[in-house]
Amino acid sequence: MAVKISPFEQVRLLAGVRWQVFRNNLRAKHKKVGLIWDTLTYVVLGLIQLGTSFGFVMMGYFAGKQGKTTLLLITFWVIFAIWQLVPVMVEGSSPGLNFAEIVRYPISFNLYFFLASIYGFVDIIAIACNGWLLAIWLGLLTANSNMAFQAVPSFLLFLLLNLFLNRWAFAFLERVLSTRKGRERMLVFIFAFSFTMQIFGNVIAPRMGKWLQENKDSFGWLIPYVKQVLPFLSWIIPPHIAQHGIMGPLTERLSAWAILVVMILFCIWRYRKKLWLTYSGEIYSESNRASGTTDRRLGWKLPLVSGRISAIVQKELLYIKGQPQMIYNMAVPLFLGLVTIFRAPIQNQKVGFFNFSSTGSAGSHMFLTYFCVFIMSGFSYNMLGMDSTGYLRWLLAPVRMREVLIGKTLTAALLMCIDFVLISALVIYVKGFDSWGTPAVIVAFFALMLYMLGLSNVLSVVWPKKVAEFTLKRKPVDQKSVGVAFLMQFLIVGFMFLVSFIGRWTNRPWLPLAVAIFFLPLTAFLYYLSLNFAERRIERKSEELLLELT
Amino acid sequence: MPDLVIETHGLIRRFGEFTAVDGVDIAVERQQFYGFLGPNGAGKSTTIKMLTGLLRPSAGELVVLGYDMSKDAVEIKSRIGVVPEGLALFERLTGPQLLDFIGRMYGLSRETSKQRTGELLDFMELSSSDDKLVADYSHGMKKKIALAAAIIHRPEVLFLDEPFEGVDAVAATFLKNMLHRFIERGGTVFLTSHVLEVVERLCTHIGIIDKGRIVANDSIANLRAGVTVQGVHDSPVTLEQIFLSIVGGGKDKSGELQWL
Repeated sequence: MAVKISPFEQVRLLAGVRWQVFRNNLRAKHKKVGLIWDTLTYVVLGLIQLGTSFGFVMMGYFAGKQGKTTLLLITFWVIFAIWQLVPVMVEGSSPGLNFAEIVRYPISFNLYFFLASIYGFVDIIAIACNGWLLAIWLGLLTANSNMAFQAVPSFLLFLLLNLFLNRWAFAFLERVLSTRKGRERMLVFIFAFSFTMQIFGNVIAPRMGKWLQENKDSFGWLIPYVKQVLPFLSWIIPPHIAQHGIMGPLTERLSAWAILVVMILFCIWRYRKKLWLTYSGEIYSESNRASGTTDRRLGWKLPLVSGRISAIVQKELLYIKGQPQMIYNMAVPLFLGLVTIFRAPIQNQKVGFFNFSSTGSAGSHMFLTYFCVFIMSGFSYNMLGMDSTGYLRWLLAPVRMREVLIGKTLTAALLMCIDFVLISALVIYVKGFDSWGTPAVIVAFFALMLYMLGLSNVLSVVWPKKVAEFTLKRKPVDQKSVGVAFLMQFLIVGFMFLVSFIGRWTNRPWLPLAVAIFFLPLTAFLYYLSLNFAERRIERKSEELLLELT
Repeated sequence: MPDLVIETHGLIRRFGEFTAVDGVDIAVERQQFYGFLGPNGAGKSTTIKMLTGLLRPSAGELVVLGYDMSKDAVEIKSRIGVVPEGLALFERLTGPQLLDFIGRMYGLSRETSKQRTGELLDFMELSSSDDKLVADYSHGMKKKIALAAAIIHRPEVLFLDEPFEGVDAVAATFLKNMLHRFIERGGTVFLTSHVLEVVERLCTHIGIIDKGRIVANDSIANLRAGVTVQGVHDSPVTLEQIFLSIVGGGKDKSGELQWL
């Protein structure tokens, strides 16, 4: 017979397990670098939290001094936006929320609901937002204690609304993310959203603003309608309702609190409904998805390389096709190129919707090339880890690991070249061909690419990391690899900057090209050495690599 | 002279101070269905890793299909098929993509690889899931595709690590029939399994490893003849009884876990 256990004891046990997991994670970081990196991250995050909290204290203080709520409204908006958007954006790409796992233990639905709600408070963003709310209130208290005490219900209700709205969104996400397809679609949505915002903010919005200003007379008829709608909106948007609940007549404050309470109850009701589905095991299963037959096509045969390497390139590209984050990495340099090239200084705008400066192209070309190579080589730092248990297949097949690495780096190189050609075409079309600069950038690109891919060969076997699925939260590469690669990139950029500077200073525009030509065969040789090193290491450390990767 | 396809002499593998495999001698003839058994941690996986070229022996001789593993590992790998522990599949490919890719990794032409991929998928009854990623396959389907991947290049020897684990009765019967056909056509199977009933029904020869050493290595009939089990007189001894009598797992634990 099982012993009956109280809900309090269950909560205590769960907290204990969380603590144990945290401690074990720390202990698992036997390699000190990882632990130091994590500690540094926490210290930096802590400092950011302290700094921003101080800013919020000041906002609260000035709001109290002025006796006005305009500043508070701004802070509420910031907190609301961050609390509701950031966790969803980050979790939106994670492989399911592990919290649902506890359903398998004998706990009641009410306790499950309680724990899931509490879980919302231990999210790093929620902790930050709660800290900020407290900071604002403390600032308010220092400047104007009457206003601060009057604001308590509004602050608390705003906090609870944020919590339950966020939990409701998460319960919805949990169901979407329970399938791999759902996770991938969510990731695509997040990337598309992020790109759209970038393009809108940097390219379209400034031009639209200018256009609206020039044509404001045509929109005068809209203003009375907008003036009628705005007060109504302020009673349905949470930050504004919270603002209504701080000052003003008692009826206005009571109304604001009542609306917030109704909103909280609505969120709780919806949240409980979603949570009940999870509690009842209503999570979709991928394997039940309907499937069908497809056309079976002949495999690729690429020119100049063996059939095996062609097959590896094809396999790698199929993998990349299914990884939204890889496609995102490929698209980032292009988007950055678009934004950099087309982001014109509005005040100097003289021609057309997309006007651009026609000063020398080499600088922006080189900058975008660095960016392209560094961003795109990022995934190659752990190229064996992407295969997960498939890594073993490479060892079982009658193929030398050198061929596998060549196939993998060839895929990365192909993608980089596509990006580079597009970026170069864009830069040359917009800013013109620089007689010394453009050839220098082209040669430097190949040298840089070979160097970074050689480095990737080395990092992939020195610090391999198994990657079962791509998420925004889980890093696909060991942080030590990132650190070393970043250092290398820093040195290269510094060196190339120095060469360009000396070339310009001594009036030798050919110098960067000469240096790039000198380094190209050297980097090719380094790439060759990296293959030897990686192959030897895979052979010597086969057991360690197998353990780490499969 | 028997046609030996797997031959090891004094095979040793050490991990630091620990000796996982300690002087193993194995001899497997062509068309044998060889079952390799042992309790957990006995050295089965380490041995099979060495036999398939995944792990270098610390000492000893290892010859597969007449080739020395230390010199001709790539040649051996091209002639054997392996269903390893964990299956080692590229799970983000669909079934047809995976088989075609593996066929080409084993040097098949694009046309042959495509043709065999189609035939294997039809044979394994996986054709209706062509557009599904392997990651979304059920466990039984994964086993089938792993087996298909192991035989696409027509190997001479098949190494199967726990091929029936987690497979339902229908799929298991299907796999067994396929393996028998493989043997009839000149193939050899080296299999590890914890399901002794399956091994007993399938295998002609058995090797038992315990604490890194081979403690029994013979045909099932000879092993039966050489083992006497207390309390069993008339009925033939089962493989389970042979196994327990050799590795000494028959300890009486009836006095333990009284609370259960």
